[in-house]
Formats: sequence, C-alpha cells, structure tokens
Amino acid sequence: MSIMEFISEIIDYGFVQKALFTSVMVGIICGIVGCFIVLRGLALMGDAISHAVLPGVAISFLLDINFFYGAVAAGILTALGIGYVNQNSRIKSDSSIGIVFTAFLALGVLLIRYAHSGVNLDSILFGSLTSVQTSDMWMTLIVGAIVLLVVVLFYKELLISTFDPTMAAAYGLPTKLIHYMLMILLTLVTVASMQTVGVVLVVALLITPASTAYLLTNRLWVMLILSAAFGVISSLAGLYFSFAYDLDSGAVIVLTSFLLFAFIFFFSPKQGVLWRAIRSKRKRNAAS
Amino acid sequence: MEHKSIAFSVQDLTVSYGEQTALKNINFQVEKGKLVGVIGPNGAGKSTLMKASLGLISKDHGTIEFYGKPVKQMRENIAYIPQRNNIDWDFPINVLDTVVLGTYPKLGVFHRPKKADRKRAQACLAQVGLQKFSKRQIGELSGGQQQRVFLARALAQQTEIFFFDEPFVGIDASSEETIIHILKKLRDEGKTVIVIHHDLSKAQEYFDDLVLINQDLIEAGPAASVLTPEALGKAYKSQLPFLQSEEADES
Repeated sequence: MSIMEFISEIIDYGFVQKALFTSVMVGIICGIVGCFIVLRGLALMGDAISHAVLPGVAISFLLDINFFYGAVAAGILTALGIGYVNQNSRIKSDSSIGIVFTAFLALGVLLIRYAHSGVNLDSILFGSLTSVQTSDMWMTLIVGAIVLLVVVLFYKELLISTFDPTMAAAYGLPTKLIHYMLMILLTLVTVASMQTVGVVLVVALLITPASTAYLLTNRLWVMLILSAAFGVISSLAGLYFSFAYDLDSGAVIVLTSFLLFAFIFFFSPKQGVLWRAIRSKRKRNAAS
Repeated sequence: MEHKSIAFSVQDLTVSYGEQTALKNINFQVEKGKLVGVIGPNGAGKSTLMKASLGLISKDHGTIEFYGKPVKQMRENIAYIPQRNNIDWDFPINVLDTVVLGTYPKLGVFHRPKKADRKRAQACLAQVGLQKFSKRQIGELSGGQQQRVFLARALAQQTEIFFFDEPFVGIDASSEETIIHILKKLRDEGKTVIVIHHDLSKAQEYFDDLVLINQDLIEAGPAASVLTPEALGKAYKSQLPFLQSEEADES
C-alpha cells in the first residue's frame, strides 16, 4: 500500500483514524515525559514501571474495574517499593529496581493467565495499533491532556528539580513529591502507550527520542519539542507499517526511533561522532 | 551600646548518619552583616552542618534559627550554593538561564520569569563578569566561571543570607578574587555570608569570623582569636598522624 493510499484510508475508515490519534498522542507524551526521565537518569526506572503495570491490569480485570486504575496503582506501588528497598538497605538502586519490577512482572503474567481475562497478553506486551478501540483512543487523549497540562503548569519546578535538586530543596520545593508526581506521569504514559507500543518496548519510546533530542540542543524546551516530534515520527511509521504490511506496531516504532537516533548520533552538527572526528583530525593536522 | 542582631544561630545541634555521629552539640551564633568561614579538617562535618542548618538532612536534636525563626519560614531569604560536583554539567541549559533559576523562589508556583526577572539575571551575570558567556552551555565554562555563574544565581535570589559550600575548590586565582570581592561587598551591604573553606592560609584575610569544627565545635569567634595554635592543633591533630609522631619524637 502506498502512502497516498494509506492517507485516503485514514480519511475513509474510522478505525484508522482512532489509531492515528492514539499513536500521535503517544508519540508526543512519551517524548516529553521521556526528556525528564533521561535527564534525571531514570531510564531503568522507566523500564521497571512500564513492566510493573501488568499485575495491575490483571487485578482490574478480576475486580471488574477499568484497567487504568489498577495499572496506575501498580505503577505507583512499584515506584514506592523501589524507593523503600533502596533507602532501607545497602542494595544499590539498579538492583532494587531489578528485584522489585521483575517480581511485579512475574505476578502479572500469572494473574493474567489465571484471570482467563480474554486480555490478550501479546497485545499488552507488544502493542497492537490495528485493534485500537474508541475507549482506548479517549483514554490516551485524556491522559495526554493531563500530562501536557502538568508539564506546562509545573515546567519551572520540573526544570529546577531536575537540574539542581539541592537548590530546589533548599528554597522549599517538595522534591520527593515532584519525583513521585513524575512517577505517576510515567505510569499514566505507560498505560496510554499499551495499545501502541506495548509495555515491553515503551521504554524505548521514552528514552530514545529524548536522547536523540538531547544530542541536538542546549535548551530544555527545545529538547521537549524535538523529542515529541521524534516520538510522533516514530509512531506514524509504526502506524503505517502495521496497517500496510501487518507488522508489529511496537517493533516498528522502536526501530524507527532507533534509526533517527543513529542518524543524529553520527551526523548531528554539534555532538555527532562523525563531525567530532573530522574536527579533531583537522586540529591535529593544524597542530603538526 | 548598639544592639547586634543575630542572623543565624545554632543551638545544641547533633547530627548522625546511622550509628556514626557527624556533629555533636554544636553551638554558635552569626551576627548580621558578617562574612563567616566554617573551617575544619576533611570529614569534620562542615557540609553536614550547612545541610542540617538548611533542613536538607534530618538532625537528631538542636535548634536552628534565622533571625529567630525556623528555616521553614525563612527559605526565601536564604541562598545556598552547593559544591560544584553535585551538578550535571551536560544539562541542556545555558549560562543566562541558569542565573534566571535564581529568580524562581520568589516567583511562586505557576508564574514564569518575566522580562524584569531576565534583566535582573543579566545584571547579576555582569557582576561576576560573565555577561559575554550568557548563551554558552554551562559545561563549556571553566571551573572558576561555573562557580561564578552559581554565585550570580545566588545574587539573583536577592536574599539576606548566603551559604556557600567550598566555592574556591579547583578554580583559577582570578575567579577566586572576583568571588571573594563580591562576598565582601555583600557583607558591606549588610548581608550575612557563611562560607565553607578549607585553606587555612587565607582564612584570616577572607573572613571576619570563623567557626572551627571537627565534629565538636572547637572554637567560634573573630578570625584572629580562632586561628590559635591550640585550637588548630585540637581540630587537626587526629587527622594528621605525622603531627603526633613529631611530638612523640620531641618528648
């Protein structure tokens, strides 16, 4: 299917539109929340929380409530659990993350099988854009609106507590509260991304576009916009290939964002490996 | 007689990390309008004293007051510049925007810095002599320039009290001169400035008063009266085993 045919399909078919709205929103919010995750050095934490929402989804199904609530509760419990293990023992932070989230993930796998929920484990783990429902789309749009609103309202507080948490605490910002607020956003974003990329790969959409943007700019707000743009490009690629060639949307999204990263990694004007090598060679030649 | 107001007072402060006592029953007061150095050997608890005073770490007991009020009510009036190695120098922020952060405390939630705030930041940057560097990413500066940027940020906070943790470590001589010049100017304007310092040779030249600690308070008061051989011996002895062996040789 050519891109033109695909665009006419978006116009003609409602289910393609739903997938389009959902994936664009997911690209934006993953890109934006991802910037803060990357700058705070929480990539592993992002990975952990995204995996750990699984038991929450299963328990919501057993209790017959919207899986959104269970997932958010599980995400927050994981963040708190990791913090608790880390602060009350000599276990290092990466190990506490590994210990807690794998336990949650394992519990989730068992519970989902036990629940006979009809929840398709594969589509939660790896995403399935072709089966986005109207309710999924609305949930993603609402979550997206919340995330964007929080980041706009608290931009100043997020910036300073990320860059210099000591100064932030010294002038009275509740830095721990901000950390957990960010963990809540992270959980919301993960839940919203479940249909698009799936919980296994969502971490890639959080850290890869943000890292790509990080190589291109020295201003946080520019980084946020670039990162969101890279997230959207990746999501759209995932959308096109999953409809046109029946490929797994999550995998395509992640590979697209990786290709963008690789390109910038080598060719970015400031940080690019290639130009840096050329510049240092010129310097050496000039010196000799 | 003129009544001297006390800007900062520490009463009976004890701080421990787990089993280990870092500070024991520390008592001293700092008068308004003084430039005060906190000195002592490595591991004496200088940074701990500062962090506990600002409520950044929890204390076992003791009372900290700023103008007679607890730190919680005075945060907007205190600027704190932590050690340079706690900062991520690759962060996507330029020099001017770093100084603008100093205007945040007084803005409150939901308010963005306005033109006037950016102007104030620019003026503070000019004071430390770095206005030409405003668009540079902070990691591209030298250590001394970085320290001056953080001093400019503290100036932008427009506070009454300044806490500075080891500002002179690993910086060039001209930056050190600029910084001490500005600190003395702040003191002359009636601000209270408290600085952690480790170079004893310049302590008397730089500071009005000194607080000498080594877990206990050894001595506090005018610089000359603190820098006595007895007090220094008491503070540094346990940290310098060769001093003890020399004494043993003499006897």
